[in-house]
Amino acid sequence: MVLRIRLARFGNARNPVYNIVLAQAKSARGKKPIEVLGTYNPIPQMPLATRDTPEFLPTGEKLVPKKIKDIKLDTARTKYWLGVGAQPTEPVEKLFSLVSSSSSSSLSPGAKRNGTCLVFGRME
Amino acid sequence: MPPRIPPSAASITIPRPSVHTHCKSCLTRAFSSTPSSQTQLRKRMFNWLQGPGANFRQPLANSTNYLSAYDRRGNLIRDRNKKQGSSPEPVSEGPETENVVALEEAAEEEPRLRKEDEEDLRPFPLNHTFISQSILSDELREEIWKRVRVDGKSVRQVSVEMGVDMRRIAAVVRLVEVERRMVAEGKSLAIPYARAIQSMVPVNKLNPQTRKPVEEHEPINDLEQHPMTYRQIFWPTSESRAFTRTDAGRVFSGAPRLPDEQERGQDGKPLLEPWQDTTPEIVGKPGHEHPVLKPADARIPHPHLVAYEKDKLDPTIKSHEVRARYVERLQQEDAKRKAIIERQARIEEKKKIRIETDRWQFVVTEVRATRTGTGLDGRGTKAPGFRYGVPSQERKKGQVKIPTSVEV
Repeated sequence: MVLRIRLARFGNARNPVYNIVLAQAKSARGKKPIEVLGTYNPIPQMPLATRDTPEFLPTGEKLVPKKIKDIKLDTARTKYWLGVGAQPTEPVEKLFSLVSSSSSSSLSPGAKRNGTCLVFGRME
Repeated sequence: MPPRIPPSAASITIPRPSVHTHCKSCLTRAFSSTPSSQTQLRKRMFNWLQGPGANFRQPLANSTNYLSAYDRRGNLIRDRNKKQGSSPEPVSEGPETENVVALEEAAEEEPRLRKEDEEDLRPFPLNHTFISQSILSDELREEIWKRVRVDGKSVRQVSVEMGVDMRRIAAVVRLVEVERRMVAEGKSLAIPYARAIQSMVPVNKLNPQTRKPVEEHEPINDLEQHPMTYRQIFWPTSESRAFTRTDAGRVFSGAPRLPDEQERGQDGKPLLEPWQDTTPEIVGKPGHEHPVLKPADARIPHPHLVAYEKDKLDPTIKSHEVRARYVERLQQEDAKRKAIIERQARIEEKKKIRIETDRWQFVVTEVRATRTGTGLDGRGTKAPGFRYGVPSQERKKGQVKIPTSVEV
């Protein structure tokens, strides 16, 4: 029995959003998973303006902020499941490698305390 | 079509009908036997339009022109009162004819009307409780915007300075921003419309000397009755202990009485001013948590004005010192608020990792996916992810998605 960390599609037509879930590998995409670890919104969203967001750049041009792709992830649970042998699918592996490649100091307080840093990725 | 027969010579010779050719009754008689097309109401309408209603054809400049400002005959009531008031004066000052002439000249030079009072500001004659409130003039709006955006003052401070509600200040700043953006983008503004409206309703103008509204715009420290206090409660209390507004708030919110050691104002302990108590306190069982109702002094929009008035009454504090203390208190409060906002932003930002790519930014937010978030039935909304077996209410009937109120 293989446990997979994979994406489960939600949202409407041409407007996908995904749950990052832990599920049995052979189970259907829409089946209730063992655990929901987070969400992933693949459609770039315009960030909300804060009170300090300037409307114009110092050069006089209108500020066009970079669009963001939103990932919400429970890293502690993810690390646990990776540690006990859950296998991420390819798209999820890409997301995990993206997260672990950047500084994960604030993301993994538990790992920091132990002095080890578990690298996300397929367990070989 | 048959050819037209030209008028005969005989018909031409008949003299044209005039007053002299007709009898008197012929002139007054109605020749039509059909009933009159004008109903009584229609007749009255035309009478009104030609009589008292004729005033509204050319409305008064620099004044409102509401129905209730005129009497039945169409005379401006406040103008009539002024004439009645001034008419006996020249009679008493008989010999001083020069003075009278001078007065009359002065009256001719400035035919300015008295300002409207409450009686004149009722647009609906049958609704006596509705009084038309004044709006902010363009200069006043620009001044408010300038103080907030250019001078960098807080909404609270500008509200106190200008005597305008904080919510209105915030709305003015937002709308002026929108207006300026539209101007910058070269969009056309409905200026004639705005002018027309401003000529019809009472307008509060900017005093160019003081840079403040000419008249007080609205009360800024008023408080609506809190729904928690609607209930009527009979609450037996001990006579040996003071029952204060703080205690009443605790009773209304179902919170236990403060223990004796925390109680202020008892046993000669210094009384804490109610407005100084701003720390929120949450009570209630899990799932039914609600904040404890604070006394009105702590909930009013400008609690520091209470301290300001108390300082003014204190004879030991000099007037310039009162002002300095007031400004200092405002600055302290501003700094405190800014620190809180910054701290919250920092805490939020700490949970995030931002990864820059060529085209967009990935924002990874650390969340906790636990059973406390989903609840035991798995339908809770605090944990991340879309719920299973919980249909979206997005397209359901009666879902209000536009904001219905503005929080300042």
